[in-house]
Amino acid sequence: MRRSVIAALAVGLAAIAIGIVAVLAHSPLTVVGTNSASATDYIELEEKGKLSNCQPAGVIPQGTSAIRFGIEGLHFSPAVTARVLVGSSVLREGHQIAGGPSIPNVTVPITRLAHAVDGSRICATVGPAVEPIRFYGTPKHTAAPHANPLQEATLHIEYLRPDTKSWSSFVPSIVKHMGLGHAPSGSWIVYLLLILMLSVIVVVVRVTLEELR
Amino acid sequence: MSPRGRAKSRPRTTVKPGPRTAPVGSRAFTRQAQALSRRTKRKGTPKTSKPSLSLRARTSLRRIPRAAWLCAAVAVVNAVCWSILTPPFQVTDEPSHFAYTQQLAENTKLPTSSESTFSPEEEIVLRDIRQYEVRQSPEIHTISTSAEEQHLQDDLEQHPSRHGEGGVGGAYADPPLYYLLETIPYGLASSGTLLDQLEGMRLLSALMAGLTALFVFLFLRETLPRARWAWTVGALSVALAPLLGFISGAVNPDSMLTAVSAATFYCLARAFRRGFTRTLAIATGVLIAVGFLTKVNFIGLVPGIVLGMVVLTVRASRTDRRAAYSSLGLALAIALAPVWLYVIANLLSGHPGLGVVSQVLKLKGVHGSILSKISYIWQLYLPRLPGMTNYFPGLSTTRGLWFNRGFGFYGWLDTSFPSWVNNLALIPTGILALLCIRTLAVERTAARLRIAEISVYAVMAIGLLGLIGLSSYVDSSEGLFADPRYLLPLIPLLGAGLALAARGAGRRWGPAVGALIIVLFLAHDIFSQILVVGRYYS
Repeated sequence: MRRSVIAALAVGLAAIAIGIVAVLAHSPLTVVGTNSASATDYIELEEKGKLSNCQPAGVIPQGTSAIRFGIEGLHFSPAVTARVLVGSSVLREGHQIAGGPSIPNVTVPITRLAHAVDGSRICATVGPAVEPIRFYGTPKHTAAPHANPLQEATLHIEYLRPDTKSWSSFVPSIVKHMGLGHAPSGSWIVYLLLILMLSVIVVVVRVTLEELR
Repeated sequence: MSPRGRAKSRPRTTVKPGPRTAPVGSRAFTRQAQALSRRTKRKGTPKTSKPSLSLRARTSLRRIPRAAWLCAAVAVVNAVCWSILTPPFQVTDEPSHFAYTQQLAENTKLPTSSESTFSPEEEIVLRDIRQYEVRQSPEIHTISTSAEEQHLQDDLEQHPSRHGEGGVGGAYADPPLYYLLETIPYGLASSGTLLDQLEGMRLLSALMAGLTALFVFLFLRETLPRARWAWTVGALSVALAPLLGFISGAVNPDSMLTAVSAATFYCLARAFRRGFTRTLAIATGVLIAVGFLTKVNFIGLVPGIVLGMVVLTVRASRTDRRAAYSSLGLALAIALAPVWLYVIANLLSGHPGLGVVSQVLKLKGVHGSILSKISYIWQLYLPRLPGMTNYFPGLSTTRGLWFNRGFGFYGWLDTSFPSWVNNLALIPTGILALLCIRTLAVERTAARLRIAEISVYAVMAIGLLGLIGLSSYVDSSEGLFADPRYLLPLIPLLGAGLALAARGAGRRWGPAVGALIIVLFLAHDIFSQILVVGRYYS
């Protein structure tokens, strides 16, 4: 049996185990603040070029590490660049490439804010668009149509930061939750799932050791 | 591979002694065939009776290496895990696919419309499990309280009607074979609730994943006969591919299409290595017919398959012209039989020849020059070339649509890894691509000898990509819809690429790199499952 194969398997499996522990110790992102703009009303624009929107940010909570905009593409999310501006200087900047899921928001990661920020502005640059885009928020009632139609709405914005609880603390509720709305039902299916995946790992290791020599 | 390398990679699996170390290529094939023909003539025809079909089938099954069966088992169990952890109807179009099966089983009729008006039973379940709210809204989770579960069970105990009005949504134009097979688990679980039936149907799809992994192993055995350890690398990685597990853990005809495609790749590879026998010709014809009856997307593979059969026939005709062309004719007759029957049935009933399929293909509505179509299809997959009209401004289709989505988009394409994970995945992908290219460069002489076979696989891939691209072009006014599951029929080529990548690490480190590739796919699978659990149940 090749030592290098055993070593590769050992290193790989150890990395998976460490990864699982890291995921469980990690906290999910949770919404810690939002502006007052509607999350359900939207305008749909078919502009092909880039669109931008700058609006007051309100108070951005301490620890914010991602900003979620109410933007939705028809089949995939557009590219979004977010800038947090204090005066004319850029405090934080983040970018999300186009091609994300078609869901009613786009989350842009930014470098974590150590302190809460008040009185800043958030500018979002969206596109260029390939397909119609929905912008969730509140329309502004301006007298004349704006050259940049996105500027005529206040976008719905949410601020996210890691929860105080880690994923591991959610495990009991996830186990209970997984047993509902299924057939077969009951929490025991989680243990069945674990047994099946462990058996997959055992077979994979065994076949690899037998065949790769 | 040198004799030293072969000695080091001695297999555990017992393989039938055969021409695995024989030279490859068309001339080599002709020499072998002529030698065989001479030997046969010298010896005369043996007067022993032919073994029965079942005996031959059992013998063939016994010849399949144990490792292949284990790869298949891993694929099945993995897909079963996906079937358990994915909430009911939280896979793209699963409500439509279920409705199609229910329509066949309960009303014994094909669907009559593409409206999403399902049976009262299915509508009640979709409402009670909050399918419409959960879908494409990652912040909303599946039902989480005992009261909601009780409400669902109470509604199911009312035995709502299982008879719909014939509307099956997006599955309307799909051929019926997969759904006919799904009526078996549907019927077996009919004494239970709709959720029992759905899980039974998902398990049948999981078996398809096993067939896919099995045929990928056999395909690699034929295409890379000298690197036995690499067969396991390719097939096991495919068995663990989360996209295959996710789709095969759901009610979706793509699971069967993938298995049929893998079997077709295997038949062609076997024919290129051992000759286009009548049995292989019939098997290929049957597979094409099954493919036509499974999903319309199979049409994309057909030009490549037919090209392969023609090349093989020309080769075989050097020894026995009549037998070669009669085998081709037989294969094509079998392959096209369902198409002709379908066209005749439509014409006799006063419908367009291609029936509902013509609506899917939208043959009359295709506008634009051939160059603009080629340009669009090119940019759908690859970076734009100078001089091309930009159809996708601001979007890197290669990365944003296909790589990221193929790497991990689950549910209704609403569950994905964070951006940094997708970016990280580019590193091993790049390394594997370089290793694969290295193998092709080192073994370019062998590759040149098999250029006809490689071209056939390339035409199959281009045909499928072209069909998906053309469909997107026709529907471009409705936006760009790109789903990586459409590429699953090409999964044998992924397996081959991974096997080549492992070989690219050289004789000494190849198996270790192969083990790392397998673990990489295992990790991808496990973390994809964790992602889906977190999305629906946290």
